[in-house]
Amino acid sequence: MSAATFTPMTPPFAPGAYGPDAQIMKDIDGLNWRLADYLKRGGYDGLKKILAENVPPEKIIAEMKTSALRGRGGAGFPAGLKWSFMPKGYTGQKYLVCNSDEGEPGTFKDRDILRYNPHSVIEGMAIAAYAMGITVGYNYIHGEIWDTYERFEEALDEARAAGYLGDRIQGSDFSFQLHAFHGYGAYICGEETALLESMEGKKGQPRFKPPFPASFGLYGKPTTINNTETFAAVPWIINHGGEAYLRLGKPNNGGTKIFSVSGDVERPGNYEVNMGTPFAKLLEMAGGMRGGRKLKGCIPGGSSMPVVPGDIMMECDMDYDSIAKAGSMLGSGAVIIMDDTRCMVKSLLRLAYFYYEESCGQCTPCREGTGWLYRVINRIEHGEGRNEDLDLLNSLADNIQGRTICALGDAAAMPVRAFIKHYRDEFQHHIDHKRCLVPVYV
Amino acid sequence: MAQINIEIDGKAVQVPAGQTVMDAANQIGVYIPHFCYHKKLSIAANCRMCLVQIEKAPKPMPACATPVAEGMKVQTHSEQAVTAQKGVMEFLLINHPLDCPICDQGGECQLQDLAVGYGASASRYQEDKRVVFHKNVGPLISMEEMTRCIHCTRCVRFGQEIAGIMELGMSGRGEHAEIQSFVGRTVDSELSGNMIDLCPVGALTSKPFRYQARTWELARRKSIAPHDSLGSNLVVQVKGERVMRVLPLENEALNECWLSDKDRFSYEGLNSPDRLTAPMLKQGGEWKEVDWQTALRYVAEGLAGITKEHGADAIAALVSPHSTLEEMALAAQLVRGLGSDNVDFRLRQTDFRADGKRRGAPWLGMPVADLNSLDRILVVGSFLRKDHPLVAARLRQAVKKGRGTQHRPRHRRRLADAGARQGNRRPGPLWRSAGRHPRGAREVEGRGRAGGAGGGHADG
Repeated sequence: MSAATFTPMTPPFAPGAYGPDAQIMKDIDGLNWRLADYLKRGGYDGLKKILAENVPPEKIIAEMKTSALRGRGGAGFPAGLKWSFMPKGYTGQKYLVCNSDEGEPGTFKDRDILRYNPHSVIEGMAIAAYAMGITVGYNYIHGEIWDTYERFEEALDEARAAGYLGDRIQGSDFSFQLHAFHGYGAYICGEETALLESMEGKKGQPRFKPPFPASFGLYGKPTTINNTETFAAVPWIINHGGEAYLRLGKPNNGGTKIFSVSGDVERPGNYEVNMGTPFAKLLEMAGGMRGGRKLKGCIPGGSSMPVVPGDIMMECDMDYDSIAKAGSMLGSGAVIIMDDTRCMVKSLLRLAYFYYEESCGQCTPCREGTGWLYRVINRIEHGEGRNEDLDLLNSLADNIQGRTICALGDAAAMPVRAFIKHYRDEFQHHIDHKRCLVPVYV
Repeated sequence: MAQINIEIDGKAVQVPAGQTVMDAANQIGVYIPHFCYHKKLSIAANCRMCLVQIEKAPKPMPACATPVAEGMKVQTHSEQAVTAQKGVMEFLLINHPLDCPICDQGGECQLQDLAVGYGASASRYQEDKRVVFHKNVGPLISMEEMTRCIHCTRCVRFGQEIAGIMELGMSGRGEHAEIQSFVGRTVDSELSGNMIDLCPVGALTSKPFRYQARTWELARRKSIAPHDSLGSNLVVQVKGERVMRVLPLENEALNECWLSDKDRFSYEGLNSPDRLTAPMLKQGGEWKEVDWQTALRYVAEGLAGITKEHGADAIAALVSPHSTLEEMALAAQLVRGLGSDNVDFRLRQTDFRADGKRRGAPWLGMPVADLNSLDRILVVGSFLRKDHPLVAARLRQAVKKGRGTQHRPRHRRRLADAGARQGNRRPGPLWRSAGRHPRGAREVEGRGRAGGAGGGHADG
């Protein structure tokens, strides 16, 4: 296949490597991640402005609400609204946590932000801390990207030395200590409450909600958790205003979004586009389908989201609401492209195996159900499927979805339902003929 | 606290704010199926068996973890709720061995009981079941069939929250998660037997009772614990003439629903081959078994002879302090009937100068249940965990609420051991030695005194 022609992006990148709309990744060439480069790009201007002008925190939160910046980690919860949930007038310790535990198959945007533009996250967190009156923050970095963790530590040192972090930042009364923390690679630790448990030194298992982290978070204290990309977008909003950020995208879907495009495209990679950009344009930025093949299906938001058939996807815009209308979710923005050589049974098998392996084992439906899903799909793939298996899979998905403590159960169930819904004939072919519908010669 | 009105299965109920749907349901006698929920343990919400339908909620909610809200309408047996509960039951059963006929828990198994109501008669799961390797955690708890475990983590939470030592934990992830002790360690808690009661399935069973009897063959006799000097209530289960096992009898004023290991397993001594079961007389340097009539006559004649020769004062009786008050009263009556006043239970006391100076009998000075809410506690010369495990558990609750506890040790080393709660081998900050403080020992202070001073740490 033409895969051999693909060479991974290595720094320095050509100008505009992340696309013409890029804001977070604007002018990033892969080498200019240091503080001096960031300052040259106008870095820390937002923080300096806030501190110099003593901007009231409520104004920053209002600006965030105007911007319609929605959480970039997957759930798409409005960031400004989340910040406003922090108890006001609380005198004890509060915490700010950045969720860089990027483990969703297909997602690799936070890694790029952290290694190529780490100061944007630091500045964004400092602004967030100022807005919520928080003095201590942590960045929980996925355990399998060690070099990125080290680079972030280096960036932290630079920021501390230059007075952008620590006590009395830039001579103001505002102090903020930020620390990096690395996990050990468990997917479940990307779930915010499991992440908190993990940081507390316990087993990474989600907590039952309520109480939500805003009232009972890290060490039982009020905590706000946002995704890396969310924090990275904050400086731009402060510099240009919430209104301008909203205008980049669509109403209720403000700003730009980094999409991690992977799969059967010519140039897989991260592309930052305005919210509401047509999928066709994003696909074009990624060099189009590999070898000019036909788009069979696309998972628009990371492995936990329902698959969307190619023809529907081609009509779709890339924003939270449009993708929801197409029957899927934007999730973390991992766009997995599958062309007509892909066997959908095998694809689903791979996803099911992931959730089977990564279930934390805490609650029953997910612990027992993910293994069962995997085994049934496995037998269909290997020509041992039975006629009742498709209904069984749907019924299992029903029994898992909405019955678990966290969203991992839903994440395991949703793809199953969507794959069977859209590609039932292919599954049926596997069961009836004990082999794949996709011809070997393709 | 504010009262909240909610409706469960059409029945109105008023409960204090902050309670859960499960609490409210218990209050009006509506049973919601559950495994991980236990009234004395923290909420885990991991078994998902108690899913109920709550009006306006998009999906079924776990009753054990959902706080009540004004005007909430709960359906515990609606179609949505029962579908969810049956779905969970199916998942629980796919990897459960269903070996009820050879399982010690059979007949008193929550999973077995609930499977009757919520399980299907045949399984849709046709792959191989998971097998979990057995573990050896000591002589009391049998973990031979861990495949039966449904991961409710009651045993883990008991260790952390009640016994104070986390000896069992859940290692591994997903389907590979299993309950075990820390690499090869045994479970040594003085309250470990309670984990057997807590286990809703046959994963943790009693080793001494293993394969001894079926629960329905046993008659239940209420009794009092002889070893924890608390008078814990218990149930002696007998088959024919033989005591087969001992279980706690719930009594909130004393032992709650727990029982110390020494009281739970000491029944084994009753059936010991070394035990004296018939009266014996030593004649000519040799022990001879005799019948009760002969023995009693021999004793009566002996006592009469001593009275005659040396006077009644030559007779004295020392009664084991493990005896019940009733037994002691009978012994005193007997000795006094013989004309002697020499009767005592203080076997290990040598200094009796305080006798007559103190009024009334020495006792704790307060109901046992009040220990949980003391402001300050000073422990003098006792290794509570070993001596009175359930008192230690109550003091632990007091300490957890932020009360201070001090130890005045008889020996340094014991203090260190006492500090070993939570598993660390050094005294924690709340277990400071009172010996260093010049004011020395202070009587246990009641609730009334220290209202304002109830900080996290002991002062002395």
